[in-house]
Amino acid sequence: MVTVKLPGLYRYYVKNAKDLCYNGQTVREVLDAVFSDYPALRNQLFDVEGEKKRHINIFVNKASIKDLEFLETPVQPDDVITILPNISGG
Amino acid sequence: MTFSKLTRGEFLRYSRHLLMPEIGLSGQEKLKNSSALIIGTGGLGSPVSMYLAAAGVGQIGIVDYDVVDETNLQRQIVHGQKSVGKLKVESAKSRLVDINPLIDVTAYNEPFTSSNAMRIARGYDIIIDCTDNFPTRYLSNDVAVFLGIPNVYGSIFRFDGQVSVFGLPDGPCYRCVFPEPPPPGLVPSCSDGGVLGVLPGIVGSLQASEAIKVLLGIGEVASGKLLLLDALSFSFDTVNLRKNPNCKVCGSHPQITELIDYNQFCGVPGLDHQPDIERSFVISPLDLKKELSSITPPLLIDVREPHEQAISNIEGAINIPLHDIFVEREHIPRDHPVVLFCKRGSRSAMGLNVLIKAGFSNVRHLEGGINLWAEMVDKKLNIY
Repeated sequence: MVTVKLPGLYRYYVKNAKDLCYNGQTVREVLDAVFSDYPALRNQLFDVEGEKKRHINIFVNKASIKDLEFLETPVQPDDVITILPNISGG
Repeated sequence: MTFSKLTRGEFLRYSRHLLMPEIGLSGQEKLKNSSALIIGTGGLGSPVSMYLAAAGVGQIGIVDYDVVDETNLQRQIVHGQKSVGKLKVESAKSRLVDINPLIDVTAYNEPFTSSNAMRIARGYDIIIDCTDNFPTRYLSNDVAVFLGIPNVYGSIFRFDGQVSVFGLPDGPCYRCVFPEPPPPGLVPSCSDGGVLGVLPGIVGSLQASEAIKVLLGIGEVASGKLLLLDALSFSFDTVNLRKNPNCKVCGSHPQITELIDYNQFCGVPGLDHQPDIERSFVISPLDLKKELSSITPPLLIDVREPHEQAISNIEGAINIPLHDIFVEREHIPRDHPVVLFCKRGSRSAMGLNVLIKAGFSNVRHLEGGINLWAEMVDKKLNIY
């Protein structure tokens, strides 16, 4: 299963689960599987057209999906998807 | 500028640096002849400024327009109880000079804006981004790119921290990673969401460490990578970042070549970062008090998190946290006056905008939140 790492900012939307493990062939499929269990998270990460919001970065292991195949990036069972939002606290 | 050598007293002060082969005498002299501009003297700016001062960075600039208040002291360790009510830059400067009287500290008691940023930053070797809001983060980045100097980035929220070094040759800038800010209100600030007091100590110390390495030209700095730390789970992950050739500021064909209106870019109206609200949708604490004792008192909705109700509460209020307000809108009456409130008015303003967009007309929010209510109406309530 693919692990999805969410920052604390979004933990409320997944009932405080930290690392989520889901199946899927691509980043989009894995995240869709997460959203099916936690629908409120979708609006935080995706826009109404189903694309990633521009202030969100997504990584597969250490690489940004912007340098891969975006949401269609293939994933393997041991991969880790990391969500990186833009936060401003200082 | 002439290159200054260490004085006899400085040999003793910097003894532990001089012993290190990576720093040594030449490195310590480099630090003495270096300058760093620290934007913000809050949570991150505290450890950054204190460690850079102690390390012997010869010229330190600190920028802030705020005054020290009680809520700062849980994490902003450059300030102390005696500084409450004083200018942050003056409070910080006196502490830094006490830590190291052999350096020069310049205090800029002004907001860092498009109109003064280049004047302030020009001449510094490095910028350390210790700000607490998106407009100033984009401004700090753009200033660093235009001046061709590195920008050491740190950011925090609750238990989460991020650290990177932007603006080095071939490395990304902040805009390469975050081309756009989040829509206003989507990502809460620490004053609304909270932050672990020690977290800026961890993140700021890492920023100071990266800044020293950049100034010395030693080691592998966090350019092209970003550290994500989660203090709650003791998790430290690094992801790789790449320069965006199409970046609007540092790309090969930049579209932004001078400083812009960063409040407008980030969709915030001004320094208080409050959404723009028409006065008819705002109610003062004293007017709310009158209305609550009328024949048709408004329905009070507390949009804070449930755990905040243990701190202070207004009798009769129902709790619908801000992130649930859209989902719960069908349970909010449209034929009865409604007043939203939060801690200080920013979250309730966002909730108000959500309800107005959903077609509500008889809805207002409490100016200054429950904290101002506690100051003006119910003085027994806790202020936080």
